[in-house]
Amino acid sequence: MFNWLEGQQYLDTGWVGVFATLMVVASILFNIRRAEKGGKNLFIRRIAGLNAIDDAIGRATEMGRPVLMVPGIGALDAISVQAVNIFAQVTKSAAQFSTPVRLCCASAAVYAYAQEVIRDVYTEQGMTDRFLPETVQFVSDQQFAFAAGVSGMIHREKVAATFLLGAFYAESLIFAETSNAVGAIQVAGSTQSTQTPFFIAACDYVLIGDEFYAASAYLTRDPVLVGSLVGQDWAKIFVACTIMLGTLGLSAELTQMTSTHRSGNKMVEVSESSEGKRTEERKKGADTVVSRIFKPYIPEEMTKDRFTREKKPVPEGAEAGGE
Amino acid sequence: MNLNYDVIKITAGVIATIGLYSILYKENRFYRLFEHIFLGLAAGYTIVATWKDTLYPQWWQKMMGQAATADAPAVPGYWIYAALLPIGLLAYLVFNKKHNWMSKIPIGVILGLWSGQQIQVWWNTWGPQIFSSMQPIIPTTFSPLNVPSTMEAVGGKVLPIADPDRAAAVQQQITNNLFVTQALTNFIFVITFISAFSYFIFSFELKGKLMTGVNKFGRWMLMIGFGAIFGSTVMARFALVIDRMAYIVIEWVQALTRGA
Amino acid sequence: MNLFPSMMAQVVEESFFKKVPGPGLYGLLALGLILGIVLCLALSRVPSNMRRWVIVGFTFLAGLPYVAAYLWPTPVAADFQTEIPRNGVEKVGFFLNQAMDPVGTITNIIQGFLLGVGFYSLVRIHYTKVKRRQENWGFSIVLLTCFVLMAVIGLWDWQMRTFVDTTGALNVRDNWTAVNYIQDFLFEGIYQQMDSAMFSMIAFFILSAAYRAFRIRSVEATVMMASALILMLNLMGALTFAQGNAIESLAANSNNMFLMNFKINTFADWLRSTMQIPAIRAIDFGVGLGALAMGLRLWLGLEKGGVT
Repeated sequence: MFNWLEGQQYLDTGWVGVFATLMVVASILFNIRRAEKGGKNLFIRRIAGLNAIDDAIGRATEMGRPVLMVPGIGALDAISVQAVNIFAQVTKSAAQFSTPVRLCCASAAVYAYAQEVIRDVYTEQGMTDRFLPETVQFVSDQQFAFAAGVSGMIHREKVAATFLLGAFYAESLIFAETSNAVGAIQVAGSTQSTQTPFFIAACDYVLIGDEFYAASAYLTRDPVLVGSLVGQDWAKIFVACTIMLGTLGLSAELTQMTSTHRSGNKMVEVSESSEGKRTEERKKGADTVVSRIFKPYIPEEMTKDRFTREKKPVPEGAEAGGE
Repeated sequence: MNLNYDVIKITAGVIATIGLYSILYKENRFYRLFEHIFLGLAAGYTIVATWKDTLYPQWWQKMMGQAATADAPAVPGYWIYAALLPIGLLAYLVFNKKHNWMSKIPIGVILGLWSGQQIQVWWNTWGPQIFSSMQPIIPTTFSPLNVPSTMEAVGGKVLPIADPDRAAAVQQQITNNLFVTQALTNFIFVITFISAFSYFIFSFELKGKLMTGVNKFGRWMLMIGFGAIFGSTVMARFALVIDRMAYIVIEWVQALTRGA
Repeated sequence: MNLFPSMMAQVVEESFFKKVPGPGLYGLLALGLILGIVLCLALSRVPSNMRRWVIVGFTFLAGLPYVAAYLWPTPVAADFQTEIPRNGVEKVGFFLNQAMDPVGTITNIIQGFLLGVGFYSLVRIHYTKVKRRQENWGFSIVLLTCFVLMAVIGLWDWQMRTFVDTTGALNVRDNWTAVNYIQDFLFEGIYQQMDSAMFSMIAFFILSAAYRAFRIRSVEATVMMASALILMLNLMGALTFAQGNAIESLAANSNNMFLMNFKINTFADWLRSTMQIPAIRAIDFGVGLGALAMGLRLWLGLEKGGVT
């Protein structure tokens, strides 16, 4: 198996890693295709935090105060993009009631992206004049300066609702508690599981973990997003089954005996390692099939210099790898 | 000069700290002043840090190379890096009504790089964790039920087993066996993982007593996990307050008394 | 498009993409700049129905090297810097592996260029406040002043430390000039202290959050706070010491070593390794899968309202 393409191999993970990744990718793409084709309403379970969005906006409208949204303090990546996409839905509802929104960014790149998306929302609603420079603003990209600035804003503008969705770190509690101090409804969710407990303690509605990624599918029911969510569920079920089967297989195997142990990329005879005292021992974790799949056994000669490659000539006056 | 400078510096720091703390009472002009100073300084510092840590070493130096000196050969520069500048600057078109779509090009490049990376690192991050979630749940011995202790009671005190042969034998027994209590712990581990995991299945309606029960149990397990994080973080945060208090009380007072 | 040439990095000798400083390099630098500008101008003429594909194309090309490097078999026991690949498959493997480094820096560089977009927003809001004498405009002046001061002084200080003082004399305070003093005062004296102050304030918020959480009378909140309490007690040295001693003497007197498991430290460790780790892993795994799915959708341009 390992001589496939002489001298090349998936050294780190064996075929399992690539197989698993491709399988997840395939199940996501397949379900997106299925959802697009079928167009039927696929089921998504209720997500409490998201049902609260309209209540929160309704309250802000009654009180005539703005809605604050923070897409976390991470750089521009899928988390920030997802947060801004959820905020686009929030803004859509807010714009219908003419409730002002404030989207505070901690990264210039996220700001550029949010500016574009939120402006599109206002344009779609035919309310370009309501899109002000402070609707989407960049506050600071230093963590605690951002926290100080947003706290000040929460107090001064007396926001009626705060949406804290994205990658939050230690500053999560500052936003959540400050919002609580001015009596705002908070809907929060962090992809950082270390911050979720603080949101649970301090906020009214919390999206836990993956619910954050499910949110846009839940709100828009866009077939691509819903299909992708179903694909992710397939992958999760597959992983859960793998773990259950692996647990059982591993448990059964560990009760058996063996005469050779695997030690790194070598096989060692029990009689050799026990200096002739025993010929058989109970199997160890590394001897099991599961371990061989997840940590592929690479014969020692594969990792040694079995192939001799020519060396590059070192040019005069230039250092090798001169960076 | 130095002594006076230290006093001024620490005093300014203390006033700034108190200024920010004042928001705990209520929002006031004093807080507002320091908030704006903080934001201004942070913005200025970001410019310096971005140039110093990112653009200068990763872009400018690589692009310009380095001329040969007496003891080092020349380092060639990659001229193509110059083309990144106009592409990056396309983002500024976000404020332009006609060409604002082009601002999505640099954003797309950043997101594309990020996405490619996710596909690359996914298994390397999660594969080992899937593997380590599989834990043996069948005990290999039923006597004793729990892991034998490496300690013993000697004259009303608990000490490590003194007799080396017996200590080695106990150690051997522990490494060679999976005891019932260990198997039970592993079983709880796997069940916790599976039930917490089932909470994040969105597209299947969980019907029946068993499934809703597992789901509910999963949520409880999540709450235990969150509580544990909460509890372990609280102490670390208090250490920060104590550090600040030490700064105000000890360092400042020391500087003042030395300065006087 | 500009990605591929930059992948040629790490080639030791001078090449078409890599020149020793001199007129040749400066000419090519100008060429690179012009090429970039021409590319941008050409893009600005793309008809509106093709624009989506331009953005999708850039996104796809940016992500491609990583995916290709993952899927292409990695050459075994190879030193990418000094060795020559033996065959075509290895050649691609070498190329992709060497490309990772320069491709990775592109994100940082472009994010760096984008910084100005954010500052434009910041300055515009505060400048307007000052101009229109809106509420709190005085504070906006303070902000803008601090911004300019810190940027100028910071860069000046950096320039002195990098180019003027090559021997590291400025690391000693006796050699400082006024610029270094102001930089130190602004950064170490004020900025850093404010940063720590803001960070430490979380402790007060944790108290009020915990107080409210304890008051919620739901089973879930109780479960969470009970587990939080155990972990908190576990970190209180005096308490764990006293409880540990009590358990030890109990175990010694009854000669039952199993009791040792009821030490609060042992129990807290058990709670973490048996319940916290799998529960949090379950969450993180879902989040990781969500990120992968989102990455895939962004990369292939499937996300509506996303990049396209």
